[in-house]
Amino acid sequence: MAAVAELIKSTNAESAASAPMIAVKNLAKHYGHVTAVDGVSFEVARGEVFSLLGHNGAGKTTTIRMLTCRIRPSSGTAAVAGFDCATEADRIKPRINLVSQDQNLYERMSGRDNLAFFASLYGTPASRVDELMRAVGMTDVASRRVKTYSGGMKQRLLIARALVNEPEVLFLDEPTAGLDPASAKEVRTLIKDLSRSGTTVFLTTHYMEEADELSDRVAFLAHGKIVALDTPQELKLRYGQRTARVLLEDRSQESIDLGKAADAARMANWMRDGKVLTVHSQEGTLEDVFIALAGRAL
Amino acid sequence: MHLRIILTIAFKDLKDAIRDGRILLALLMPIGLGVVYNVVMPDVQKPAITIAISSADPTKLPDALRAVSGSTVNLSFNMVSSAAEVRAQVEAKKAAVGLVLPPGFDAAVAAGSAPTLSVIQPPGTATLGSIYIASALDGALRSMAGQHAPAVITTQTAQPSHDAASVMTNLGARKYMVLGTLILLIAMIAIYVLPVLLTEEFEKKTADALLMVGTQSDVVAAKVVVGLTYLAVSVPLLLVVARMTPANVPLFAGALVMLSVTMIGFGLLLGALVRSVSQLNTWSSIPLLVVLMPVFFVALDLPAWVQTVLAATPGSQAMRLLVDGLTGQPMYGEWMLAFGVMAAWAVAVYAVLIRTVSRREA
Repeated sequence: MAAVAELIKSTNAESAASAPMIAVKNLAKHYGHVTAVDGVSFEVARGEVFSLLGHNGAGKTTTIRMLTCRIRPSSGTAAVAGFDCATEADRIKPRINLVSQDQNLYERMSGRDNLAFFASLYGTPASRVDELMRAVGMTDVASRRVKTYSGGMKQRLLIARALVNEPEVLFLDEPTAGLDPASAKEVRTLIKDLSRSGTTVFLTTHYMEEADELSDRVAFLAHGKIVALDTPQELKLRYGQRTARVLLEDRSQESIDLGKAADAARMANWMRDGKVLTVHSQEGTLEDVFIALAGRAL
Repeated sequence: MHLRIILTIAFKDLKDAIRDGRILLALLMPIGLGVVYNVVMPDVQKPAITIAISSADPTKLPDALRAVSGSTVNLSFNMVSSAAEVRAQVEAKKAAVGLVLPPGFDAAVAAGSAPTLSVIQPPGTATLGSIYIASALDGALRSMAGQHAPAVITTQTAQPSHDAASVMTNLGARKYMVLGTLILLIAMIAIYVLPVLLTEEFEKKTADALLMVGTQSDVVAAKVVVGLTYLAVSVPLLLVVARMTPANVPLFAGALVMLSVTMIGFGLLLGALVRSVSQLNTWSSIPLLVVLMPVFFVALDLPAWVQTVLAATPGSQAMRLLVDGLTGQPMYGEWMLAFGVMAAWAVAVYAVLIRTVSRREA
């Protein structure tokens, strides 16, 4: 998989590093009386892995559809690679690509033909097709029809397809949904490789551990609005509980609040009396953060 | 729109269709029907008359008879060596009539010396063929003698009737059915194949990947290119296998193009309205029936109000134009009205299509 990063490294290394790759300001999308996205604003730096988390229907996919120039915003602005999504789609599309949660491949065609078709669409040399098949470890099955592939193979092919045009920004919409743990791990490794190569990654996922593992920053979306945006570490510190669970020598467990002076005194007494067997910090998870913000788990 | 992207998608679809049994069947079924009609239905034949001739010298009489007869009958000549053989052929009904020419016949006719030409009629009641040849001889001999005809005869066709008997007499059942099959072919490509290709892209979400490169207009235009390619290949193929040569090519081709444009509009609208190929399989039969049913009623003697309703349908008007274009006769006439009806349908269907797509994009 690391070979994939090598394939796009050269292009992205040449790009300027100063301006944000994605700049969104008061972006909104309404479908009749329904508000799918409600005035969100954020920026994504070049090479950053940015995750958008939220319930089904929170507005994640609509946001991606606007950023990939497939639907027009009702209001607000969105710029990708310095170009306006509403008016400069032709400048943006060659610089981005998408791995969607739907395994939207041409099933009657072979894996190689799928890639070759998209290489033709982008005007990419045909030699890149075999390079990508090799990079995602699918050379042996390249001539087989896609309908004979497993879910994991299809997902790897989707990622290869998304790299055909050497994108500066890669959008991944639930890239590990429905995959077995081994395939999901392969995809996560690939995303890390892409990030290391300088590709900007915009990720949506239901899996909090995945977002925590991969993301430089995370935004929580609820009812079309961003309710929190920061690094996973900061969010967990801000919204998680500062508690520790203490196992005493009589096998009883006590919870102490690290911010309370009274609990500090209790802890000091147990330590002095030699009653403490173990102490476990109770660091919050992104899931806890989300429940705190949105009121229910994903 | 982006031409390179449109053509790339269209080329992919054309290759992919080879692996899609539904599309292959939709394309090949009408062409197969054309072959079947070709085999099982005979064409309307011109009357054929065989003439036995004996002449000691070379004669131009057969050419003169052909010139006089024009294209109304097929004349064939059995050149034999004696009067006895002529009689034998007529008696054996191998020839409808026999002609016995004396030596030096052509020279004598040219010199105006009135040679004797014997006409051998079949026994019993004279046949239509023998009567026809007997009456045609005078004109043929006058032309051989270098005489001008006593009068110039002009032939005019009375206003043709488009009742069932007239259409079938002029066209024949085979050609009528092949014309119907031609419209079926266009309808199958435009109202079934094209929306299947379009709907499948959106149903399987492959359109999402295409929209990362091009636009919705590119995707739709690519499907239109595929439909036009299928039409450009299959329509001439059907005409060739069914041995159909239109007498009025511009009218015939114009009717096909106008019908194709209108039907493609129907197909795109259907593709924009349905969400899945399964829905399409259910609903495409309705526009197919609306287009195809009137086609086969065109030559029937129906009540006036039914004829009026039929005249408002694009399939019916296309069939009228194709009949006129194939025969080269204005059997139905009113060509501007026919093109106008089809154009009105095209404008209406494309207006609804644009409105539907715009609302969906919004």
